[in-house]
Amino acid sequence: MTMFRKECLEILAEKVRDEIVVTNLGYAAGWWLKLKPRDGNFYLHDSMGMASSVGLGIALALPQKKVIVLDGDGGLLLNLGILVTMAEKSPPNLIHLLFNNRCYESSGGQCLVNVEKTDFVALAKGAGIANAQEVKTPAEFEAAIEFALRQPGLAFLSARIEPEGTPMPDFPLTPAEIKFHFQSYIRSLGK
Amino acid sequence: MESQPSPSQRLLSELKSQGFRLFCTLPDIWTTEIIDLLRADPEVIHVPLAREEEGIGICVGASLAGTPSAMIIQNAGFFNCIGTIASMPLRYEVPFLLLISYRGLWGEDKPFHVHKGMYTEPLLQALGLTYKLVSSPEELVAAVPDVWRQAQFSQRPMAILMSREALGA
Repeated sequence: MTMFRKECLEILAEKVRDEIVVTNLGYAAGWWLKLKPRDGNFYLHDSMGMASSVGLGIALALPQKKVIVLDGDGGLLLNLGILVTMAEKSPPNLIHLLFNNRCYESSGGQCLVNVEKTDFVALAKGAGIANAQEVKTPAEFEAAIEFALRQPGLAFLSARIEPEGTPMPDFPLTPAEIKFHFQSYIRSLGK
Repeated sequence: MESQPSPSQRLLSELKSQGFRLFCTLPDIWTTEIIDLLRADPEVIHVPLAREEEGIGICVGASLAGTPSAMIIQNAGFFNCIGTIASMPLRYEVPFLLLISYRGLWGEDKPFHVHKGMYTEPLLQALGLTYKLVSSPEELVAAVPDVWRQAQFSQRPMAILMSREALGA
């Protein structure tokens, strides 16, 4: 049974209510904008690897809001130390969702370093994130994301997916527009 | 007789009075005291970093979420942040404060820091980051509101380059 990022994001789009979503660049940003356009999203345009850091900053600043990070395996490898920093702070309102497709799909599908040997769940657990697990089917994904949305506690969820094989969706927003929408959302919270 | 507050105590108290609540840090020997103070302070969110570049993302996230934030790092750590500063806070226009210990220039006692001293200001200038160089505790405390105001006006991160004397190290 294989799973694709788009079907995971479709499931997530059904579940998300007032959570903040921070997306990695490329496919994640493109699909999320199509599936769930809303002010409570913050999309990375560039800065590969930084979605987890931005999500951590938001989660620490807004402890009453759940924050979901949409990360990729290539992105996480660029910023692997963040697992340790996240574990140190362990914000109970942060879900780090990793799409593990073993390639740099948004930049052309090139193979990831150390592919098939890297165990991201073990890395997260080794960093001190106890609530770390892998999901391989849409049903497992749905159950895990539902649980993470309901339960307080830092969660690391690695979704083993296959490359999409479809063109990357358009992403027409500029950084200024992304910031404007996100800050409107923050102001609506009374911050 | 009451003892005078140290330069680090004065710096932290000024940062807090300017509304800073979240601090990302990675130690330099010159910033040991301010980081110890942050770690012990229940009124702030202290985020020790594994690598400085993470802190750029964390400060962007916190600042966008309405929590003024600052990084306290060495200039070598600033070098680790350059690509991300260019691609994130400068593109999205997010202000925060970079408090950088300026190793390798005046007051330096280690020869291996000297190259960092040579490249620090040219790199800040290359990014177009406005900065203030401070060389006493008084200048450091006075620079905080000044630089922060400019950063907010321009919606960009800005830096304070801190000499050894400024930190009382």
